[in-house]
Amino acid sequence: MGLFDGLLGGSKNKVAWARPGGEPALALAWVGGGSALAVGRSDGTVEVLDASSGAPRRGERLHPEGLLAMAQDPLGTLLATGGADGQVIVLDATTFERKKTIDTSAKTRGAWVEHVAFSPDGSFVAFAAGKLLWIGRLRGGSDLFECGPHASTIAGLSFSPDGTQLAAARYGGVDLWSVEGSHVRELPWKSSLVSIAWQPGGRYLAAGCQDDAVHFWRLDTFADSMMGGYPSKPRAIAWSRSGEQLATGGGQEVVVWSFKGKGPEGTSPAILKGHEGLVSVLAASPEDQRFASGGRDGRVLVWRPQRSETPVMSLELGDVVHAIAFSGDGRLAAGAANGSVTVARLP
Amino acid sequence: MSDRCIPVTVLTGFLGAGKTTLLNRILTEPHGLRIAVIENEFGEIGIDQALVVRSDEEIFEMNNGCICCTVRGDLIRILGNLAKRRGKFDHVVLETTGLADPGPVAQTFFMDEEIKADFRIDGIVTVVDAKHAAQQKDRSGEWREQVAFADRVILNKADLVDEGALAEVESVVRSINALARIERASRCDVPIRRLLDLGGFDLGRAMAIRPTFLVPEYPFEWTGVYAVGGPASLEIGGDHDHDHGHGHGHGHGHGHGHDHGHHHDHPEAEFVALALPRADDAALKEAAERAVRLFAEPAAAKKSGQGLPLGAHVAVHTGCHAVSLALEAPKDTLVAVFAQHAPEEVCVHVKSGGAELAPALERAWADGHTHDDEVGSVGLTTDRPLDLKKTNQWLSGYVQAHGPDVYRLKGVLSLEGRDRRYVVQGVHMLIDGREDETWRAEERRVSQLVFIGKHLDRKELEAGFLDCVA
Repeated sequence: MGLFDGLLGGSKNKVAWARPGGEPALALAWVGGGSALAVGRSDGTVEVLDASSGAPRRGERLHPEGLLAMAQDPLGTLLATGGADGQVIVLDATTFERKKTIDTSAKTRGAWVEHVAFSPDGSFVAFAAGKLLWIGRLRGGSDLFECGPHASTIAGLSFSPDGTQLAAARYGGVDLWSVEGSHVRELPWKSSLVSIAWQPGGRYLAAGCQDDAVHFWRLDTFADSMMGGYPSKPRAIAWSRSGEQLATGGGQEVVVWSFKGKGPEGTSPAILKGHEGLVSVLAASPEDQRFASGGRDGRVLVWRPQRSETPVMSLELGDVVHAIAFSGDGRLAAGAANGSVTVARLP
Repeated sequence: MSDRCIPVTVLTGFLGAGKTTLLNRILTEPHGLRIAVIENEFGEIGIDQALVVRSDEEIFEMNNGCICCTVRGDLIRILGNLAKRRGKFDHVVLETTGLADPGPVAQTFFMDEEIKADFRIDGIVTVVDAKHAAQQKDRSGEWREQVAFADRVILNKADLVDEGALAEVESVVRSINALARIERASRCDVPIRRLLDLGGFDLGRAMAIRPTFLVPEYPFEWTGVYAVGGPASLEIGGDHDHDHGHGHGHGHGHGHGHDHGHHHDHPEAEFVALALPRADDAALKEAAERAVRLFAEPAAAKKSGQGLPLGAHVAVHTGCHAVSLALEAPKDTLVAVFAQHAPEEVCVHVKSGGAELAPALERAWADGHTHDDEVGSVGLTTDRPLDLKKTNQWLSGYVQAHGPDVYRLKGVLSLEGRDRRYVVQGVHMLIDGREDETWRAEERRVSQLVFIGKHLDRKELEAGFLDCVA
């Protein structure tokens, strides 16, 4: 039972449904206008569940060697998946009709497709395997731009909020690409970057680093800065909807930096305690300034850090939390290593 | 959570040593384990086989510039993804390229919290090509590093070289890494199940399997095995000029021209004699383990004319006069004489009925003395309890200053006021320590600490270690 259930009136009230078991749930996506939830599982299966009951509607094993990444377009009509087979599949989230199937393996000697992302308006899809990335046009053409090889394996992708550029994080820095495949610039940093997130306002790029720090760049001047002191690598990072706050993992606490005014330098972050294991995943609400964190302790906590350092909701999934997705209409989905998927109504 | 950790076996060795052969055995032999293989970028195992992942060996240096923080970035990614497929495999085998430095691999398992939570390194296995080891050891620092990091050394292609050459390679390996277990093999025909369960990073278990494993070097340099049919004696020393016919054609593993300064006069020579069931290498090795333990006991001083009982540690004065000890062995016994010094230094014979017996088997053991500029092992021992705080300070300080040169560090410590053994484990600058099993009542509480690395200063280490005595 959750740490704060006593305070919050128990977990039963808020859980809409929970579907136990199955292969580890690695990725979640709300599709069909919030009527369905797509679950990407480690064995390569993508399953679409009815959002109100959790009943399965459709499922298909798209990547027999395993799924590593899944993303949805902003309209929730398309899904893109990447697998250990080097394949990228773009499909209709309702009919499972395949829009594109791209085999990257010949170009990479069989590297895994570990990252997929849609541009904010859904015009482009990007995916990375090994040191290469591709940007595919989905509207007004079907170009496929190959970018790279990068200096090292790509560890994260993030589109700029205006949809004109793509940031690729790797060991030794970040490469910025135009969506039409030309290299814009390199942001060097002598560390291994493990994740990347473009601020919704477009002014900052933040990256989690292997050496227990968060690095960020101001994109008007390209001045960079870092925040250290984490007990572990802060792979999970998420910007609040307003872009004024950056939530970071890197330990058992959720550390939230304020980017209001001059930025976080010299300020103290909010430290949110409630997990009893490393924070494994973070997500920001598209509706308001809330965050959700998932941990290796199997717990999902929802925070409103401007108001309180106490979570506003707690869920127990019973195993390492791999995925969290806000629906945008007051619901939250979470998936765990034990295969369980839980949907709860936000308070 | 640690019992949920998936064990990882790291496979190192030069190109052509037999890693691929070993990998194929691991994948095809019925050992009941489901294996995930991470092979290097030149790997030859078919990618179509389930759960074979190719890695590109990306070495990540950290922003602080410390080589001891260098990790294998690709491993963090690959293992991170494999962890999400938990339940599909029981064991990970990680193959490295022939020229890989095992340091970053080992460090990855110490440095990354997520990896630590899901995986544990079970052991580092180094495949050595017995036929080409002689050239590789001198030409390649990587060869020595791979041997230095190993928990197990597979001396492969043993069928292609003679016994003398094999013994010489074993001596070289032993002089670099006093802790690794050495196993001879042809086409890597070693028992796979045992290879995948070394517990090389689990000192508590390793001690249970082989209590003497932390004894850093053999306290004896030479063993002769004699078939003793009747009354016999051990003849030691004396100023002989004659060639004493031991026929050490295979050298002694320390024939690199370094100076055994302390060997030039031997007021004392120590011996242990043991009965052997057979005159073969396996029986000899087993006896050597017993001899190591006996050498750790105080030696009984013997004079010429006295007896040498089996299973006793004895010391004699050597000088201008030969010493003769009567072997107290039953008739028709195979007797192994373990001698502290090599026969070139202190001459040894077994005589029976007035004639010298030729050894049925003989073997030189690496003496473990290291050159300052070479990779080697330094072992430290004391039976006085150590002070935890002092030990911690000294060890942390030492690896801070010398981390890049310390490849492996293993120890079992007896701490003042504690009933449990304290085990420490290190790779370069990273040390882990924890309390282990309680010392048994009849057990001698001895602290043993072994460093494997280069430029190790034995005197400095000894002094620092003894300063930690409570």
